[in-house]
Amino acid sequence: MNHPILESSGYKYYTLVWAVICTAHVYVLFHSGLVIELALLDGLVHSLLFGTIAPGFWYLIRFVNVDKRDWISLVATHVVASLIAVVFWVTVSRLILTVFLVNRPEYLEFLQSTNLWRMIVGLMYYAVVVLTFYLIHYYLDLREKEDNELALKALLNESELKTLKSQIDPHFIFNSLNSISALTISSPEKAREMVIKLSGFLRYSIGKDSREMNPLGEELQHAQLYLDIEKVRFGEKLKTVYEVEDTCLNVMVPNLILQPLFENAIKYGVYESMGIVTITLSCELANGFLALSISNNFDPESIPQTGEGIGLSNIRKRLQLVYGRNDLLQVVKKEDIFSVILKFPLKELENERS
Amino acid sequence: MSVVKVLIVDDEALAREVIKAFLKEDASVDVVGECDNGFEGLKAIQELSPDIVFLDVQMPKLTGFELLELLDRPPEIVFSTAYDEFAIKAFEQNAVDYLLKPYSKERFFVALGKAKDRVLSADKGKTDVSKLVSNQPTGENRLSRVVVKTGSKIHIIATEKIRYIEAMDDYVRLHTIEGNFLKQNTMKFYESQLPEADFVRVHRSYIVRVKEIARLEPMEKDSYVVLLHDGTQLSVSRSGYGRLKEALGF
Repeated sequence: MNHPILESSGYKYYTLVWAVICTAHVYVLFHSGLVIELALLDGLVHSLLFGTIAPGFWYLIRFVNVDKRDWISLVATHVVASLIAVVFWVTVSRLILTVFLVNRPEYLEFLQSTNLWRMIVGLMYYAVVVLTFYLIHYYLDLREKEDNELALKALLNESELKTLKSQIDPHFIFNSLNSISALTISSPEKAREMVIKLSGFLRYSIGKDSREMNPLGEELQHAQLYLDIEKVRFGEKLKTVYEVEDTCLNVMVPNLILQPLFENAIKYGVYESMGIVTITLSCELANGFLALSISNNFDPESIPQTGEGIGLSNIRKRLQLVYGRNDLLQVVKKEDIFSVILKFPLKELENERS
Repeated sequence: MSVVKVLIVDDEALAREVIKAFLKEDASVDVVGECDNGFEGLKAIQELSPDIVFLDVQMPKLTGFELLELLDRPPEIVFSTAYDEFAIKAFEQNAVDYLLKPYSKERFFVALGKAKDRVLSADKGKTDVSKLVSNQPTGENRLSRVVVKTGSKIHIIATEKIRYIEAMDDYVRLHTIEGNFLKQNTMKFYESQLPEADFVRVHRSYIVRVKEIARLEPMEKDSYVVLLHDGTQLSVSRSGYGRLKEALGF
């Protein structure tokens, strides 16, 4: 924790405060009958000296912490410290003034007679300075804790986001490799094409961890690679329709957020059905949102071999983390069409970009 | 040397291509057919009675495991799948072999060789179906459906439709919303494979869907019966009572 006066910009206010105290000091002495130059000198010497030693009290309050609830040692420390400080202050001030004003005995007498008052004023100064320091210390401590908490939260969010990000489906990888293995026998040309597409897909999936947001255009290119590979595997059985407005392509979206949706469409549509499955992707900009829908037909009579995946709930959680809203994902199941509609708020997206 | 009849069941054309291409090199085998889903595979096995079936696990309608469950006298089965999540280690002791896609030609012929040996040997070491099936995935991947056969009809029943299961010697009787079905399997299998939160084994002979339970009534001293919504009464054993207590939270 920095010193509020010495190590930050607090010294300006500190100096100002002592200037005011000094003026008050001079005014009181002048009012009680002291000539102005003597009042000025007296005020300056006392204020300067106290102003110089007071910042040292900071180190004292850092050692004697209120939080420890040891009231006896707290009070004892401050009683001793305040007495030492005030006696030192009064004595040294008088020494300095005596040196300067050795030829003004009537003033020195006045100085002597006001000793008790100066002690009391010194104790007041001490009390005010120490209380102020305690307040500042308490405030800085609170802010530091808040900062730490925020940093911790951000760290937690980050790791949470990481776990929510879709992992590459191992089935997909091994099945694709098997298809390639088959193609090397019948048509090496197509095998090479597929290797290139699979490489592109993997490069994007593995490499994009560091960037949280990507333009929709890039995400869709990646999705298309995925679907192209699946088309090689499933042939005529898989059809794709893209209805994408060009204006959508530059909008930033969380990376790989669409991947689980396409995987679901394949898993619950193509894997379970014996007929043709069409995956339709459409998106548009409307009412401050990028609205994106992915739908597929499925066999309503089929009973999935595995329960609902964690894909959808992960996307929901991720949208909640990125945008702070839980109403951005909508699932619609109508007769034999399954659709997922995602809404990305444009305003937040722009902030993210800037 | 007699010709060995082979059937290929896989939903991906390219996966079937590989097998066909490899099999061309062995004159002693004859590919009698290929199917792209479990239903057709079942039909083809019954009609063509192949000696060896190359069977994919993940397929529409009926998985490879489910297909195998429905066969009374299964041929030699070589499973193939892309990903090791089916407790393969335990499997290998029972199935003829288990190919992980993509596989090499050498590995493929090892599997084919093993299958041919079994076909040609006088003592046909049959694949123990019940053992195979009980090696299905455990833990998070609980059973979500059950396949049963009545005559030539195949029913795929979602586990949500099972009301309770009754033990019948070597069989179990599945009491479902769609009717009652006999199936060759063990209570232990269902106890461990059905979704844990939805079913409770209340007795040596009964597994009950928790939502079907209307009341729990004392019978004699220390013994209870559960009353289902349709009025069926099932005995509850002492340990079953403990499990019920836990499931229902009373």
